[in-house]
Amino acid sequence: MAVTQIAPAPLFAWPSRQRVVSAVLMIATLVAIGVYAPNFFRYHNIINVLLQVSLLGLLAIGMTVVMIVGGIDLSLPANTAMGAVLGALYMKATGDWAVGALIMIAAGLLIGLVNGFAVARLKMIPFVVTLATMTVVSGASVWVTNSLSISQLPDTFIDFFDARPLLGVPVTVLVVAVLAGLVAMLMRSSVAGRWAYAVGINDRAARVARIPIGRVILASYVFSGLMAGLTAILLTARLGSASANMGNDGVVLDIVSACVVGGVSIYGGSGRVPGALFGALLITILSNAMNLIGVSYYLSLIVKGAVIIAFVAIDGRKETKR
Amino acid sequence: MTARGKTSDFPLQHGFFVVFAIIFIFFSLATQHFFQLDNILNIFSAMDPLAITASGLALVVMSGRLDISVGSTAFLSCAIGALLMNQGELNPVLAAIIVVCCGALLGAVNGFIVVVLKVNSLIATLSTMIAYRGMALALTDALLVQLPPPIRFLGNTRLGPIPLDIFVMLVVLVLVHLLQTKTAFGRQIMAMGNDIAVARKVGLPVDRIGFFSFVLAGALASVGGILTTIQNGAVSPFLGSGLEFTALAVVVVGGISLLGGRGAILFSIIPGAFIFEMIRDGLTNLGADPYSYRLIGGAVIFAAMYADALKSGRYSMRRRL
Repeated sequence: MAVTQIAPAPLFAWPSRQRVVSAVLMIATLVAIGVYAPNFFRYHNIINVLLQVSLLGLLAIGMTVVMIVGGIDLSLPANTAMGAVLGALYMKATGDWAVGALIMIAAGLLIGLVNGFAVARLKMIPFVVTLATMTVVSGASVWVTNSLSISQLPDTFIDFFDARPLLGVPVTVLVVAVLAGLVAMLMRSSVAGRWAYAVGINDRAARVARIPIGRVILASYVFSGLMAGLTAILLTARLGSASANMGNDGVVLDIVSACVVGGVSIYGGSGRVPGALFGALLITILSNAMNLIGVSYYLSLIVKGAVIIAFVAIDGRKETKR
Repeated sequence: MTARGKTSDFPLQHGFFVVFAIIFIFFSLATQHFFQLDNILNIFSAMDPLAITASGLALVVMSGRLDISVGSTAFLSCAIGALLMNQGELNPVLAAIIVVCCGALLGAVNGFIVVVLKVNSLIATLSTMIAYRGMALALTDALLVQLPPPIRFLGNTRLGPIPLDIFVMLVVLVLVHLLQTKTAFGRQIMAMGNDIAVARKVGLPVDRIGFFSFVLAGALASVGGILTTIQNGAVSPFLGSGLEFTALAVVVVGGISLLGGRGAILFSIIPGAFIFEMIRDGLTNLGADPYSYRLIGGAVIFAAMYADALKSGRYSMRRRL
């Protein structure tokens, strides 16, 4: 039978199969890069990779929290695109970058709230709810923008969020690092974090233990919405433009892969934020390596799909749980 | 066990038809061309690929799982068939058979991953959805693959006033309907969808049933793909993209529960697919912005899923995950 483990883990334990496999995969990828494209390891490039990892990692943090509670949020990238588009339109019209950034956050929170309300109150299936919001929201952002990208945003906005204050390390990386530390600590040691794991492991038992399940579920989706809003700001600043295309289907796959590779269980109740960040790192480096070695984009999709299946297949907890 | 059959489905069917009728009457009054035999036949013809794909998906959904790779399966199998016809100058009939076999094979890969490797069906088919599309794009270089000239005109074939593909759809749907209602396999799928653990204890070959439901879904998706290809005269790089979500919506709108174990093919899929094509057609006739279809389609999906959640009554968050 599946043995469920609640964080914190014992200090000394044999690493799980998943961790061994992901570490081996990471080392193999790095060696391959070292042989085929040593330029990869230049400082400037590493910073750029970190930037990509942070943007993916930010969404993965949101997804991790939702997955721990036992749901899934497919609408994250669509949500990001919607926030980015709305905020960018406002900024372009008024030039007020601070309110524009707030609009991005608010859009993310609002869509997260809709997801959370549908799952927690209307008792709908998370996968289906977020699939529907993904369709509606991305449809809406394509409609609003007519598929065009919105550029020429205020310089202050871009200068502020795309700055590189510390040894050339961008604000994005710093924000994500601080946030990841904070969320990891909260999930591990706060009451709310424990509630999240408890609901994910067994919602009936959690109900018996008088945990406010509805609020925990709602909060997880609102949190992931917040992450989407933050991503919208940082990604828009980095690209210098916003478009509905920011949330294409491939991004969902990357987020889910990052979480799954990082040991977050799709059945809920286990997984940690640092793991998801490691997953994001591995996925990003894998994509970069394939790109550098000259594997076509389409072929890299196949590889990514195979990696996810492999990682879920070696996940200890099986479908029999239903 | 939940009671099944016409009686328990009746209230929902009723509610669905009220909505259906309202939309239908609205479009008939609001536009000139909507309520005409030609246009209704067009809607039926346009919904064929969707309906056939959804019928395959419905089998998987009834067994309590999901298959969101159907769109990519249709794309990859049709791309292979079209390339074989163009470059290998293969006989079209033989090519069609190969396409269906490819679809079945891709479905078998899904079935293998889900049944043998015991990967959650959502994650498994999410991955194969992307991987199959990647393969197809790599094969076609993301370019349009034209069909050879004689076949390109097959899409306009009519029997009297009625397009040929409507008959194809009806035959396929009736066959799948009979498979689901009259055979042991169909009843076993339902039993499995109601409770896989019980079905296993009773001694049903749950693994084999699950595997074949994926094989059938793959094969039917490729049949849907063939119809799309013939209608368009070419395999486009966007074939089947988004089809998985629309097909899933058709399945649910038609009243097949996502929790598995309930529903009927013929009387769910046809109205379900019709309402989606009707909305698209009606919006076109109204002169609405094409970008708005996705938004309105999503809203319909949302409403249908909500009805499904209400109807099921029972609640398990992790059931589908």
